[in-house]
Amino acid sequence: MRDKKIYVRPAEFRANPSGGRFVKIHTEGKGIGVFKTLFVGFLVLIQLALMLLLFLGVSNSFYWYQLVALILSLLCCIHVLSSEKTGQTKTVWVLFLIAFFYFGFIFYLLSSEYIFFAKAKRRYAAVFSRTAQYVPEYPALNNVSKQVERDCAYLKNAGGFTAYTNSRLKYFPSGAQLFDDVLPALEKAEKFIFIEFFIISDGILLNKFYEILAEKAARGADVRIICDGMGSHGTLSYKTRKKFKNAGIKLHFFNRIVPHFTFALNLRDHRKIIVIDGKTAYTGGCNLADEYVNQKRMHGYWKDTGLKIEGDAVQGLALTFLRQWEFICGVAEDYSPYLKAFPAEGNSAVVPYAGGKEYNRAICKGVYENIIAGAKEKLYIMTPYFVPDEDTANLLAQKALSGVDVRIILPAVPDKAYVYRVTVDNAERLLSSGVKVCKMRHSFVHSKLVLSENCAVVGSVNIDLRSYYNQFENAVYFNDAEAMREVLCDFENTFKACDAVTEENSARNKLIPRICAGVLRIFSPLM
Amino acid sequence: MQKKTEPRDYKNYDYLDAAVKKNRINELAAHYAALGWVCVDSRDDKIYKDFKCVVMRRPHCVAHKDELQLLQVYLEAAWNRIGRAEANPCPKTLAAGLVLGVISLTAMVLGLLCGLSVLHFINSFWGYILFGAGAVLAVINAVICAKAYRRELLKTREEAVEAARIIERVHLDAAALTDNACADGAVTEVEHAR
Repeated sequence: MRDKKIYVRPAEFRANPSGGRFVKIHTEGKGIGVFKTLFVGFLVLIQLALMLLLFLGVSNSFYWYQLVALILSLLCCIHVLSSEKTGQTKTVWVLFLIAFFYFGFIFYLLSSEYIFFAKAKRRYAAVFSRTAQYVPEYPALNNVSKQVERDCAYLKNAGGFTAYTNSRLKYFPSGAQLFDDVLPALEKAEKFIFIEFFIISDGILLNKFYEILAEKAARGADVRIICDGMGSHGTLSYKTRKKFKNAGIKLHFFNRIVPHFTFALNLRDHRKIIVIDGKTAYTGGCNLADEYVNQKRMHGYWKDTGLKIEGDAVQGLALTFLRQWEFICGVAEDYSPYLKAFPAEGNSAVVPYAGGKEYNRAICKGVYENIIAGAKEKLYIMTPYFVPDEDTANLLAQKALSGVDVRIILPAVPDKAYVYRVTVDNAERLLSSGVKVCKMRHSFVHSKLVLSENCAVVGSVNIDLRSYYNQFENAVYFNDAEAMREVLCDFENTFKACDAVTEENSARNKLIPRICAGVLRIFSPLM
Repeated sequence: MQKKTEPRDYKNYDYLDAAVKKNRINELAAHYAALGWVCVDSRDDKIYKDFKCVVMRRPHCVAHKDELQLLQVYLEAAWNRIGRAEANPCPKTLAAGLVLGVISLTAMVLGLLCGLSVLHFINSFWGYILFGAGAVLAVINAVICAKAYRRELLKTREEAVEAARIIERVHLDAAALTDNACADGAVTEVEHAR
């Protein structure tokens, strides 16, 4: 278990290795995760180096290889330009293929979904085909605006997501409040508990979860956990995994890290889902780790959000989880016991949806674009990363120019400096269009929250290309008036804790940050 | 290091461990008490004799917890700013001065050695030119650093004053939050749905 330590260094105590700080929040960690990551990274680099050496040896032996490589790379460029990738991604690929024509086409072919994802896509298709029967009928949506109707229709047509009407929502403006509600709800579980997180980390919060889950598993409840192979590999120790297994809790990793080079390593399960007995579900931006409840200090104050769903809409999240479970375990089962409807009072539209490679289009991106396009009065966004494609960025600029109050809240404290540099640069580019950007002081904003006058979305979807194209995400779209009021209240409270970014104090006024951001933007599709 | 004597009740309390200089305990305790933390244990640090390890505790379910957490971050950031300001008030000037100083010294030494034909890197004429350039750079460095030092020191002092103000404001805001909680009788109770 990790403990927080604060080292208070007074002024006269100069031999402070942390640069003279008075207070250092120190959390003990085992460091195994860092070692494993470095080891795997080292192995992958060795493989790439060996491939390169072998490749150079072969290519030097055949003089005509250069001509063949050039032709193949040009053909790949044509394929890239005619594909449905974003403009940014196309530019990066064409640049790469031409600059490294010697071997660029090999990387391009290896990165193709038709090669590294073909088998997985067929498996997903089989799962979806088999489980289509469990998708409930689309209800008649009464008392909703035309915009909400259109948004729900998009989700239905693009991904087969049903809108639910008999559901009650509760919004949490912090991870601490979310998990303080989750734990008592887990204690009331009787039949099954489904948990899916990108990061599950050893710590105080996980210990609290374990005590309850172990007891429930011992009483015969079906407890299932999915965590991401990369997000959780350095944070969830072998000892903890074994403890969970011995307690009868089923835990599986999604897309485990393998010590050989493959583009599939880029595909991560970023979802955050908890389903309890089919009656209650939770989602949001929080992972199952101490920093999300500010129990552990990382990057200042950790701002996050969560949503509790009761009623019919729980089925949507349960179905998403069960499909992912079936994909991972390869075991088909009857979903009926887990998808019973428990209607709650509510007459708004609630649509739990998901995004990922198993769908044929970027659904999460489409939802955000629809919301932005439909906003006529206000559009508030909270996101840790802001690396949109040109469509989203142009839409935001146009909305602001049309008089819509567009505001973006970003963190003031970054977790990844390189992504942060691009995030801030992208946001500052919109300042001239009238978009208001602000940063929450001394905080890392991890919330993924969008609010317009019509609707709101709470979930795991960042406004970046990774969430749109490479990660498995989930979120809930809703137009519940009470929940939207709570979201608005959270935005207003957060605005007070933010410093505005203006064109005068923008980092784009300085040469070096602009150059750094310009170079890093080349790698935006990977961020 | 701190030895745990009794099991911690993480279900009902949050804990915070701190190592503080013995003559600063009261100051620390006062600031954290305003945020709802109560000192429950303290013992001498086994390694640093002038330090004490303090364990603080706060009820897990405390009203306005998110606001108190945020204020705590502001407080710690302000302390760190003061600490940095006192430990090294002019880091940029120091860094620039050191870099330029090393460059100018290197130029002077190399120039002198080449000028005296001890080294034959360049001919002696250019050696003396290099020496002169190094000396000029050293003088420019001294002038620039003197000005920059004064400016940066002033800025650091302003930041330290601002940080002290922030600490005071946080103290007041935290006291107001916990007073409100007391008035509502909700200091140790979960603040349920609004």
